[in-house]
Amino acid sequence: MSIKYQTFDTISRSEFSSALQTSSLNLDYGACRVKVMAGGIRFEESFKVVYRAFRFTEDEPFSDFHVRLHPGSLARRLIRPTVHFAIDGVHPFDPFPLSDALPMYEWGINWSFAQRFNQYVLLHAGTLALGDRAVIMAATPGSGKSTLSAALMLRGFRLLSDEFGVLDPETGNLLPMLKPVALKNRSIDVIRSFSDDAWLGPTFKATRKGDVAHLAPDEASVSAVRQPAKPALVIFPKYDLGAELSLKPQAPEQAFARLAFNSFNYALLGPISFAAVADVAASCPAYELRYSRLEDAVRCLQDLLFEPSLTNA
Amino acid sequence: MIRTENRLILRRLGDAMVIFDSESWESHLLPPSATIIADIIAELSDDAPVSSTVLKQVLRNDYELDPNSSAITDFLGMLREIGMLNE
Repeated sequence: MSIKYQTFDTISRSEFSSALQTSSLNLDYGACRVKVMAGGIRFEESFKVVYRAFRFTEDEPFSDFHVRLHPGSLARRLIRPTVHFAIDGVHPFDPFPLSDALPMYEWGINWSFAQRFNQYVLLHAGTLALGDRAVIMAATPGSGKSTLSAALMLRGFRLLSDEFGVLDPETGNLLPMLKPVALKNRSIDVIRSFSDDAWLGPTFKATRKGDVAHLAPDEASVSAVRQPAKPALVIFPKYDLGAELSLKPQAPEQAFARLAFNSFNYALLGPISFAAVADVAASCPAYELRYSRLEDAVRCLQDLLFEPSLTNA
Repeated sequence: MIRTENRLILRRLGDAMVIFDSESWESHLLPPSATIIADIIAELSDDAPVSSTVLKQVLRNDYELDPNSSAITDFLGMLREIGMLNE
């Protein structure tokens, strides 16, 4: 017998608002769980769209973070309204304009996760899987990894994260840190026209990172949010306008150096991250991928993940 | 994974080697040609530091390599710097 759960897109706005105001809205990102409280900041509609497939659970006994979004003092509510982000009672950031509550929440969760979850090796990488075989796409900001992650999800890959490769040093597996994909500037329209299945939230104009819109994770990715995947392929992607697709093999030591460089906490974890990153570099083929057409890149990664040498590994 | 003197953790990756220094918490990457010499040091070390003099003798006598060639001198300097080799 299958149990039907309520998801954010199926509950009413009033039920959703009530849960937000009474601190009973819980989000399961896979690697971490967050309890969210918000009142007076009017971001329910956009939140419901970009988390549409997430399960709505009111009673969650444990959360890693307690996050509160609030409009600040009465004076602040009247003059140039802002939104404040608090995590476990601490305000780590300056407030944002009230209209940017969703981007602030998303960046706040990313920052909190990167700061606190040092039981895992955190790679700056998009991670997706076919079956239980995962591709790690490590890259510096601006390389197009979120756009490529979005395109891969919209062509049937399971999204684990567009931002974090959460590597469990004990098992060597990757854990989902499944959040809406943050698309910036031209990528927003690129993904909007890439697939009719793309559920995008509103576009936030001229934020600190330019125009930003969030793509909702699909149902298949959300329903597998607690399933780890095994690293099988490492890609260093680079969007290159007008370029033909090219793949340049990376020697294991090159992959090691580039993965370590693209880690949030490699230096902090010392021998733990050394061993975990070396394991990935030793066991996964690695390539530098240059591309300009998303469809070409998607097909290339599908082929690489289904290569016999990989599937037999 | 090979450990030398409980300080350096060595890991072969293909033809190259990566090294973690558990004192400084620095990671190092050795190119394949330096890795050959690092392997020889690892064989010789037996939990005790290897001196340049001993290594040079072994390179000359057992491997018929010129330890004073510029390439090997560079590699020895690199290995000395990361603590795999004593003066």
